[in-house]
Amino acid sequence: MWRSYAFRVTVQGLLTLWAVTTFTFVMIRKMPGNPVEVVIDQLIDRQQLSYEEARQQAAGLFDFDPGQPLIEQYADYMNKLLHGDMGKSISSAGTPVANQIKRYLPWTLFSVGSGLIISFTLGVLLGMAMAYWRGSVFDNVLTAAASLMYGIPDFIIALLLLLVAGVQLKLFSMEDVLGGVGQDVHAGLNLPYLKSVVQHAALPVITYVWGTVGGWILTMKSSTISTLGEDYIMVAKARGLPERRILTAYVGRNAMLPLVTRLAISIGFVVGGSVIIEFIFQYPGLGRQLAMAIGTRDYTTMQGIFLVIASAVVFSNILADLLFGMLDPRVRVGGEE
Amino acid sequence: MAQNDVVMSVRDLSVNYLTERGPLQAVNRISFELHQGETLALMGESGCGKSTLVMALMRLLPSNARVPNGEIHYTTRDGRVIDVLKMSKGKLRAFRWSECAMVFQGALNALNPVIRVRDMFYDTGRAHGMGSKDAVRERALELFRLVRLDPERVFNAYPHELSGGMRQRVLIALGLLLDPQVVILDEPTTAVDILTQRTIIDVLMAIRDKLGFSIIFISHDLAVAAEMADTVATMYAGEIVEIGPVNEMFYRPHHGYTLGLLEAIPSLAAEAEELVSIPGSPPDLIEPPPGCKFHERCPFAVERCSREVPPLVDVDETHRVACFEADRVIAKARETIQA
Amino acid sequence: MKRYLHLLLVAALAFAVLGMMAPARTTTAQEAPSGVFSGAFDYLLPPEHHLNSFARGGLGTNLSSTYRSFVELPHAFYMWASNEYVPLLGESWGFADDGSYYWTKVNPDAKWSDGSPVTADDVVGTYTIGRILGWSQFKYIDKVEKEDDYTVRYYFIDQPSLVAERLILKEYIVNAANYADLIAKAQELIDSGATPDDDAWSALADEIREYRPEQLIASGPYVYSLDDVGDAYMTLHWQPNSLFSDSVNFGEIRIWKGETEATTPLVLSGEVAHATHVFPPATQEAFQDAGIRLITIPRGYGPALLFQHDHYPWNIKEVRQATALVIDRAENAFLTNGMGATPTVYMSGLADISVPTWLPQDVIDQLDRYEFNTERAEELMRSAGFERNDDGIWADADGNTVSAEYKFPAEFNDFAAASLNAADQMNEFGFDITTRGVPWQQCAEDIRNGDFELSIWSWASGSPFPARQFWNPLQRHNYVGLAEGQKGINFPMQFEWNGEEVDLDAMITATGAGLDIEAQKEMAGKVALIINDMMPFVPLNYLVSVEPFNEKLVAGAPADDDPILKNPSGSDHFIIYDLLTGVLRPAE
Repeated sequence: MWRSYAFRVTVQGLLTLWAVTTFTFVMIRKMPGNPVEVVIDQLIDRQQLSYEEARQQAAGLFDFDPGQPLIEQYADYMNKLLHGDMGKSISSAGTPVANQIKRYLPWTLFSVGSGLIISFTLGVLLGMAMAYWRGSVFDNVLTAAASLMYGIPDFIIALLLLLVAGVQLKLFSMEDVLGGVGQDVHAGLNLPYLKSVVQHAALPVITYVWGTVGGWILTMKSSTISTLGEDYIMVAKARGLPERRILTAYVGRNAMLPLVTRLAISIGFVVGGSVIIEFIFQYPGLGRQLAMAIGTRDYTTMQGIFLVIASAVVFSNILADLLFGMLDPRVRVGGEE
Repeated sequence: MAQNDVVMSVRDLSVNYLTERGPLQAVNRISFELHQGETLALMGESGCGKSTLVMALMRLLPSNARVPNGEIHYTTRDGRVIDVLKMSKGKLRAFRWSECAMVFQGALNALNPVIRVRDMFYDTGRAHGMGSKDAVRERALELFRLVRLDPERVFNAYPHELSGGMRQRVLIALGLLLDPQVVILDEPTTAVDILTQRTIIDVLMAIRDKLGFSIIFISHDLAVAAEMADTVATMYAGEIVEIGPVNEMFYRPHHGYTLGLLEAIPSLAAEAEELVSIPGSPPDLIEPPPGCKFHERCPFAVERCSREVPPLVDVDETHRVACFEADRVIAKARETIQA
Repeated sequence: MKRYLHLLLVAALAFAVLGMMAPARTTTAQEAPSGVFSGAFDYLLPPEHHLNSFARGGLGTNLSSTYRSFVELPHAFYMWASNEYVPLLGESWGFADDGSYYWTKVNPDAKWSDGSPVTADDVVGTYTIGRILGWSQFKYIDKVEKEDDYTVRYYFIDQPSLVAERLILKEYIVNAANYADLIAKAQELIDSGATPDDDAWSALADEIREYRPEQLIASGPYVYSLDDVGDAYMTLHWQPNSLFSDSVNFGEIRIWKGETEATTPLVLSGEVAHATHVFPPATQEAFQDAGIRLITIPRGYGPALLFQHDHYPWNIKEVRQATALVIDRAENAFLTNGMGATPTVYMSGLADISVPTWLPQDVIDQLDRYEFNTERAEELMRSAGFERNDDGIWADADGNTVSAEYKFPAEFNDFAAASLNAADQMNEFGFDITTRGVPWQQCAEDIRNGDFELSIWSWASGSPFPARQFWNPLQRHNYVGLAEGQKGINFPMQFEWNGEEVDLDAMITATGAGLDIEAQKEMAGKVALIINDMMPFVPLNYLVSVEPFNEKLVAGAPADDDPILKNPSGSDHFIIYDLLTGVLRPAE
């Protein structure tokens, strides 16, 4: 049973990845402009060349021919991909896409990942507490706060953090918060480096949590409220079970079920990073890199990052299935049927 | 029955729900006594306060409920008397289930869907200091045998893997895990098929006789009540309007509402006979009508009924009724029921 | 007390050690100047960031034209106010007497950061690589030859050109030793008679692009390695061997990474002394409130309303002239970017700052300035056979209304604002204009393909020469300068004007031909008059770079009337010259 399930999931995942890869391959090439056109425009503007001259000069900058038939480009790309080669960046000629991903992915995973964990944990705890003390001052204040936080876009928060806390109140120096890590520390498993990494991740994580925790709180609250109305909670109380046990195994576990799917989707998109936040805090994440690749129409880089995101989403969906099964025996995979 | 075998004694108990429009009198000045080994059936339409009453007995009322007056006294096996309404949280937790357990409707979501049956037994056992898991397991398996379930399979199953009837029996077994003196049954036979119903009643009666606990049970099904109960109480609009031994109540009802309920039973003996349901609907409990709350629907009502509240008076030593026109009711009852 | 004694001992020891070291240091190397100059630019991070001077992702991409001269010097720097070049890496330069070639001479004192001298071989090597990569200089020259150790000749394909001179003098010279293998291969390939169409040629081009030098060898007073490229900023370190090492006053140039949104807080917090980004008016005010000086310099271009001349009635001159009259350019400029845009004055097709330099006074006097005047516009419309219809919309005798869709690049805030305002004003006059924002790449493509009715793109350019200013958009976005099959605005360049047949394309090209500046001025005057009359596009306004300059951090910034501020932003930016020559210095 398990083996066939694993097989099915693997095949499904691979098919999804292939479909996504093909789809993005075509779609990004259907976007207006291409990497060479973008540079031609720049060259024309800066050097006042004629279109032909600029095209000639731009061609000298690229190992990429936009005139090549799409199907050939596709065959080349897939062939390389099957051999584990994601190709080289178009706009930074000669830089392997794999190196770019290796460079930026860990930062995104770290910042958005820890943001997600904090946001989810806070949201679940606060949401449950609010449902428990429904109608109390605590609940009302937090509900209002959660809606407010949910309503303010994250980039506004990011800018406010920098402008108010950084520029006006001078709570920190820009050097200590911009980027992924300070320049005066040496990479490796040493305390100053780790401290610097955490310090630099703080603002992006705060911003991320700010932007997402409201959603978790509100979802968890409504889910807990409906769970609290369930008979088995009443039964558990009647049985004289201790509060804590009821809270975890009876309320918490059931109330969290609807959040698990959402969490899985969020995990998938962790990899995509948080573009605006990464731009504002100069955080060296994959999301910003993707946005920049889109701006310069760097097809191979875009393609590589999309592939990583798609893999993460596929993977996290499988994870969600398994997790959901663990939490809810009614939908356990490879179950009775 | 002697005075000293009272297990639970309820005096003058009221429960109000706070609503936007004002307090809703769900239970109004109810008194009764439950004796050792006695089975008390609570009858009445939905919304008459039966459920509120039994919830109050276990102090499981929702947060918007208030108990303005009344007392609930519970006597333990070793003779201590406990004031249920004044118990501390910790004592209450211990009291629940080990002294007074409740069997909810199995058709409802009474079992936590995400954990195994065994974990619910373990949880309960651990919460009441029942010792090792093995002890819990042994006891549970024994109870499963009593309620005629396949012990091993059911013990390790998830709730969704069991049928409605099986779940109901699991709940019964769970209720009996700690050998309580009082078991409250909330419509234990609703929403299961007729065969399962039969099994459950048989099981219940068998284990009651074997284990000797008292039962308070709520049922719409008067046939079940007739079969199981020693004492029957009729509740209307939050009040007990008549209470008495089962034969008295079924053959010599003194209250118009009791009679109405009896007339609404489809009798197997007289299958083709038309059902007489009680016309009208229960009164508003936030602003109840003056006098007897049933008078608007009562075929026996006289002018006095709408002015004065009839007190609960003794018909005989065990049978009490709150009706001014009890004589006319019993006369009518003789006619209908004898026929 | 004991502890205090310890401290004293340690201090004494430290002094002793330093005392022994200090003299040794001064004898081996000069002291780096103190002070940090902090700028901002959105450079790339490694691995995209590398030290190849010829490939994208290398120095050109990461240092921008503002900072690149600090590590790789070009021969000269251009002063717009006086129309002359001043030396950087070069010592002298000029046209051959017969005009067959151009020559440059590297300053014999110039040294690379590794201590080796900068020679003609470096210059020739740079161009050898450039030829493989299709550099635009090779449209004018076909051969680059070493004359002596420092002098290089560039042979013209046909006639000498001022445009070619500028391209040559402003090219960054790269250390040839760092690219020795590639230069040798390139020379070999060129000598073999190969052409750019050969596979070997493009294979070598790929090899050049993928080359990753391990270190940067600088001719400028600063140098950096990839370790200096951080997430938040990169640092250029002073080095002692450059021609300008003695004159600069900063030991470090720190370039903070980021676009406008990331740079704004850095400027406000006093981290960044100077930035060239486009800041919205509200931010400009915030800078002023924070006591930060704003220096305004030309951007070199501005937004132009582009007519599609195939779309009736834009092919009628009077309608275009009327359009120019009904758009209040002061209002339009203000809405484009506050003090970041100035209304066009002369409407000549030449940037207003270049008009006094390049146009004869009598031509300037003749130019119609198209001051906002709806009555004049109405007269013009009536003279062309248009009347307002019942809806108040201008229509011709057949009832055809003046209506069009105005397509603009939605991401460019300034161009978008200029477009929306222009459309509003045109509608107020009684045209029927609808607006549509599209992605900028789409807009650029549609303009080239002529797939629009009204649109917006730049006019004029950052070049000081009329030929290169008139070029945009009349040649750049017109069928004459575009690829086969692209029609652009499709303005016919050959027509009868004032009773004579003119070829505007040839005339514009002629304004940049040869070395006779007087002849060029005369030709520029003619072209300006024709553009002024024909109104083939409406130059709405001219963009100004409003650059925050924090004088609490850096002193010596030019006064507002300093002629160097006539230089536009970009490769002639005043920062380049003033920093290299030591005019800029750390504030006290």
